[in-house]
Amino acid sequence: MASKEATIYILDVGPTLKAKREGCTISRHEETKQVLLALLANKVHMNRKTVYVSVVLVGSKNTNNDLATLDENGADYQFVDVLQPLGIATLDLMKGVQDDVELGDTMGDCMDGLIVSLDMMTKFCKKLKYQKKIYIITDATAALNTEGLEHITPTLKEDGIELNVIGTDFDGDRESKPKTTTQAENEEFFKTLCEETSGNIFSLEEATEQLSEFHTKKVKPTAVYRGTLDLGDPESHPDASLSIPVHMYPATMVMKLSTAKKYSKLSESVSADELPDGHTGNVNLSRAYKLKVTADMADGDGDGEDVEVPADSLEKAYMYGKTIVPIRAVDLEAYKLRTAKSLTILGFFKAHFFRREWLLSNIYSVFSAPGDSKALVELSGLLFGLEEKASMALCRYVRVEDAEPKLGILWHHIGIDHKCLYFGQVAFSEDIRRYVFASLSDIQTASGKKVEKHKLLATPESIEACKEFISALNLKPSEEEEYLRPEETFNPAVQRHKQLVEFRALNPDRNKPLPPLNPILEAQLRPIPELEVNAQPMADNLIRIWDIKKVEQPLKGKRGYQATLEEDKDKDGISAQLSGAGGAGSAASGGSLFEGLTGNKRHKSESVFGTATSGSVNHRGPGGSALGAGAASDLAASGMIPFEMSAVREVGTSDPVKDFQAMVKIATIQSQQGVRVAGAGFVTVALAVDQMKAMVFKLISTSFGDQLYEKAIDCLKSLREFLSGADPSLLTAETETERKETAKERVDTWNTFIREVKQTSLNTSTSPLRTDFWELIVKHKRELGLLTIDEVPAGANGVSEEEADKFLLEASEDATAAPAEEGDAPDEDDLLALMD
Amino acid sequence: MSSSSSWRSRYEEDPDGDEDENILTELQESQWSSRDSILFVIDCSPSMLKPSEDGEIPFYTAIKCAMTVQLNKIISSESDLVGIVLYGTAKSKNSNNFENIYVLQELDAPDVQKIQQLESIDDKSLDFDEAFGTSNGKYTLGEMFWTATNLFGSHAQRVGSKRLFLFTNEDDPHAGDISLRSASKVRAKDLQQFGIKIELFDVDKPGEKFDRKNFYRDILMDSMDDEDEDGAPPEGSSATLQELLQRVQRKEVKKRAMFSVPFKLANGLEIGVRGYNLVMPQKKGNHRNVYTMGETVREVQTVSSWICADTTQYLTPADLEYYWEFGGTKVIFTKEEVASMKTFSDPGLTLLGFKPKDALLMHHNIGHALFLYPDERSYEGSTRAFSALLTAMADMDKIAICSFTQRATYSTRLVALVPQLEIIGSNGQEQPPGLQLIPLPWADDIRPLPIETGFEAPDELKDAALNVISLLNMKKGFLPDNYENPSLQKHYKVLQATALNQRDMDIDDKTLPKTEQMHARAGEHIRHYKDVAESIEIQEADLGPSPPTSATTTKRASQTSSDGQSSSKRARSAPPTDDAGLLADMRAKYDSNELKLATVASLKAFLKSVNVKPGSVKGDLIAQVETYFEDN
Repeated sequence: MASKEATIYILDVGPTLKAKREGCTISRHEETKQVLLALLANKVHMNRKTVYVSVVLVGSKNTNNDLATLDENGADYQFVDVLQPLGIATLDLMKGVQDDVELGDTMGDCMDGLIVSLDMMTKFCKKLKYQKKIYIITDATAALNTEGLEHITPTLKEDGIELNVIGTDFDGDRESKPKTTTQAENEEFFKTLCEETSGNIFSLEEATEQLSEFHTKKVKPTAVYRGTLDLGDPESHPDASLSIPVHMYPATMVMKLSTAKKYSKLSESVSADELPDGHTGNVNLSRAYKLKVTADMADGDGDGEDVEVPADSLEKAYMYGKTIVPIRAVDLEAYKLRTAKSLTILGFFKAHFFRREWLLSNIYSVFSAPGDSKALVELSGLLFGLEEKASMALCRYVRVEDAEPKLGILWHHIGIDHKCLYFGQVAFSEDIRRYVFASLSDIQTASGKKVEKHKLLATPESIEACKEFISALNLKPSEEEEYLRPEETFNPAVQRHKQLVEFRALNPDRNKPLPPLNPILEAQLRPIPELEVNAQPMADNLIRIWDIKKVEQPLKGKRGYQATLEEDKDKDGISAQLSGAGGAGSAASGGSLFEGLTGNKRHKSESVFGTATSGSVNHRGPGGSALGAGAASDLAASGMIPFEMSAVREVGTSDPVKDFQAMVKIATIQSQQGVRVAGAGFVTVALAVDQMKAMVFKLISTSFGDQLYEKAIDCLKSLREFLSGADPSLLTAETETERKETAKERVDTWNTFIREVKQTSLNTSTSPLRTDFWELIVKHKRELGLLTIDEVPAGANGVSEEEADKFLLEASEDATAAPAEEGDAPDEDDLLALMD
Repeated sequence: MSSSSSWRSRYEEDPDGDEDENILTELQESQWSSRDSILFVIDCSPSMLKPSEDGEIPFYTAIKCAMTVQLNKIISSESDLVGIVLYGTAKSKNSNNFENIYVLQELDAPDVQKIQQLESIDDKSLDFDEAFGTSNGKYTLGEMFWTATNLFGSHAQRVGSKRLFLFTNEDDPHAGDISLRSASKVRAKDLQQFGIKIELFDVDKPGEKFDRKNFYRDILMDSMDDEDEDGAPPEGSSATLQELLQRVQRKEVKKRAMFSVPFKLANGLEIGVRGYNLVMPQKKGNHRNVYTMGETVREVQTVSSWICADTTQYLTPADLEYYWEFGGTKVIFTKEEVASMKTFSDPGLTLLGFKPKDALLMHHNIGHALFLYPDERSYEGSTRAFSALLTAMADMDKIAICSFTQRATYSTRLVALVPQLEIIGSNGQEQPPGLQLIPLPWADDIRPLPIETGFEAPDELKDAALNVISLLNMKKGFLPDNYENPSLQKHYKVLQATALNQRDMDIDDKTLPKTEQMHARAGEHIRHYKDVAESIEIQEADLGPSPPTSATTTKRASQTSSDGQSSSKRARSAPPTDDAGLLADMRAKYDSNELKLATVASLKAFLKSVNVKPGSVKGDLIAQVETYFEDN
């Protein structure tokens, strides 16, 4: 439990503060305000209900305090303005200080302010336990009325109030500054006063410096384990075993940043008057539980619509292979491993056996229980023994009863002030992956001879050059001098978070650029400039020796379609895919499929497994596709598309029609929402169509007999339906013209494609012949033929019905009249001319 | 989500990640992380069915390997695929109607029946001769490869890796038939063209070393792809079950990089590195929600959606911003701005400099290490550069300090790179070459040590301790391999028992101390150590001030002492540690007549410190303190 705090800040706003200090661009008034704001911000960041602050202005235009009297006997406590009585530190207070505090017209008396503050403090804190502090920020120009000092000092002392004074022109510990006699006298006076109340005086520089220093948040040490450290079994062998009462504290613990809460942008779309609490921007999470549709069910009736089940009807289950094993919560608890709270030594071993990478977690320190001298002695012998033997202890640690046992090691720490054991959790057998990596020094030829020179091997010359480089970049030139000691490097994220929250709070204008990261923190993440300069010649030498070349390639995970996608991710139309080289990826895969039909077994089989060609939208690594996946998952999470659909980024073999429809839907939604995710994994209509086309060829070419024909026909039907523009909701273009344009492109795509299919199927030079497939298409006539005028939206190039019939019935087209095979889009006019 | 990627998705519970990010990345992981598929192909020639020198029968050894892998997969990565093909069998079972090839298990997720089937082969309750029989060496290797290719191909689901584990002791198949030989090679190469990798588990025949040069080298050379994969160090062929099992286990999990980033050594000098997780706490798989009230147990998926509290509209990610409370106000940021608060560079490593190895302190640890290995595919020349750097660092006993951003949304932090040279043991690589990446704590993450003491153990005590430490020394050191995680094993066992309706749920907890042995070896010496400790007088100053205790901590402390067996005995010698302060405080209060302002706790503490047994009522306590000061 942290103690309560009450702090009063007295800010001098007398007219003399208008002056700038020598060499400063802003007035003393602005400078003192900055200091006060920084002090207040620290309190606000603490975000505690038991931290109270007050701001009192002295020399203000207004008089606002409980003690002020203005009558015939004279005027007391004038120009003392209590901006906020002791209360919680809020942003409003900070804003008030920033925007509304102005210089007064009369010199104020800081002693008046102090007495008002003391009065407030006493009334507020009564006799309760508070950490009490008063800060005076002043230029010490105004005369002080020291009358009644004999009462003030004891009150400060008795109440345990610490008084600190920050003076704009105080000497500080560096230099003395020119000042008036009054200023000098005042400074001397404050110094005495502060010393008596165990407070301090600061120059403005000192204060600023202290405020900008990074402090680690003080965390009160709390033992995570209070129990015994055992050696042997204290129960069966009480005399021949050790059982030392110890306390274990965290020695390292990752300081987490507070997580941001979600804020709804839509909130502001309604008027605040309609809302009971105004705009809260709050976001609620709703959870629904739906029965998962399994593959075999989906095939059956009713498509397995979403069935929602209540949350309290759920049971936990684990997978055991393919089997779902439901286990009731009570059973889970009952079958759990029973353990007793303990820290017990399994044995000792030489420290050199231990590998640093086996440490898994943060570290704890283990001390004998405070105040227990016997424990102190018993632990002490052990840790001095471990030191002398250069050994560690292996131990089993159970934090509380029935907690999961952890394996840990204990090693000694013997410093001047601190002597303890450190505890670190280490790996179990299951925690270690035993991967094998190629040797970096041993390369053998096919006949088993070791190669001495190879482009992958380091040369002695390069190793020597490397050593020079290493020596030049020495971060620990001597025992005393060490750069980047963890104890001195502060997490930039912690400071950055504070900085930005403060900044945005005081500058709500979102367009105002955010301030830069503190240069000191920034520097921690970059090489030290002097060292870098020194080491550059050695680095240049290495650059020459190593001759590293960045591999410029269609990046991992971005081959085939994805590469294509990169090129024209901004076009939603399919034309981009079809025209010219943009379709290289798809054309290539299509091409190999054609080759597949011409009897090259390797290529044919390749397409079966989709390893390198048509299936290569396969995701070569999580990294490459992360963005696109994110977008789709986001959509899924928002409930706009069914979850299982969000995953579809490829037309797969198992259910191509479903995949295709999902992709088209995702693409449409994304495009309607204006989601534009660059990079791999982003689904476009063009991508879906292209993959579907490739799938049809793949199915035809790999079908064993007519095995896969039916599937291919389904694909064709689905593709045709989409391209015919039958579902206008899937047209995403905004303007009518664009809409027409898209529709037209789609119709053309189909008509071109079905011609290709015909040509492929009837190609007599391939084996096996696929004429039977074409016959199947002919059977489905209207469902699979060329799109006719009647079927397509106005403006698209449908063919005449006669032409469509002719196309289906004409057994074989002259090869020369067939569309180009290269995957280049045929010129439309030529094509039509041919057909006519 | 899917625990196929249990190892990987677990990683996503990275302390850095926001909860949100976790949801996302986990989805991605399950989406993109691919499942492994392994096809066991086992030679059933007569020599495989005869005991080798150590009595093991190679065929059964291979079956045991397959079984182990299945058992591992079934709990840790249940969506990986495993299949088994026997060849050289008298009976045949495959879709192509090839002779002497028996597809025992299609490639599929492991399940209980499959394991039971293998068990029955292993314990001979399923008779080999009856079920499969041997064809006495008659088979066509090419057809086996063809069958394997089909098995991999017929599986519609996308898989990330396809590997064929070939168990044979015939190093020269089809020795006399050149056309069959070359046909086999062509088939094997075809197979590899489809991305299927052949791992050869070669077994020696009695008195005859398996020689890869005879046949397999040609095939295997091909299977080395340009990934750092396996240009793996040559492994000897193995004879014993143990060795083979080890080899299988090493290969069982497909090696996969967590990330691939540029490593900037200096201006104009970048190489590529990949990062791996070689050590990370393995946890129980995520549970799934199921609905058991229907006819069958059905899995349930959770659909989460965000709703705007003000407008009750559903929110898409684009509608969301983020805020922190600051002084009673919501301070709002965009998602990008939030990310920019902790990520200060593009993904990658930036070298800051080098330190001697001893500058890396053991207690500066916050999480598990990662392992770095060069990535030739992103920067040509990375391997030779990395290798030179590694060698130079190891020679000079240096570590590198770098700033590191693993992924676009991850926190930037400082890390130490520790060189690790390759170690080859009798059974292949024991330690791979590379750099261990140790995340370093920030100053914000380091807590000061809470208790001070100047007490140093006198020599007699130290000597007594040395005896105990020597006697209980584990000569081979600590090896993680020897300690299975008992809670994990218990969990698996419970699952297995529940799935198979078994009763036995007991496990052997290898982390329990072997106390009887310890007492037998060192009991007397521990007793002696305690005696010595007892005899040592201790100065009060050595106890040092204790950390501040609060109400809750005192409560817990008293609990501990009640179950610990020591407190009453020790109370005598254990006065509170900050006596002086307490005394001054009480004296001041007494002097100013303010004792009534003191807390009961402080009054009691003070009285105890001066060896007065405190009363129970505050009035009594004050009276006792007053009496004390009057007397002193």
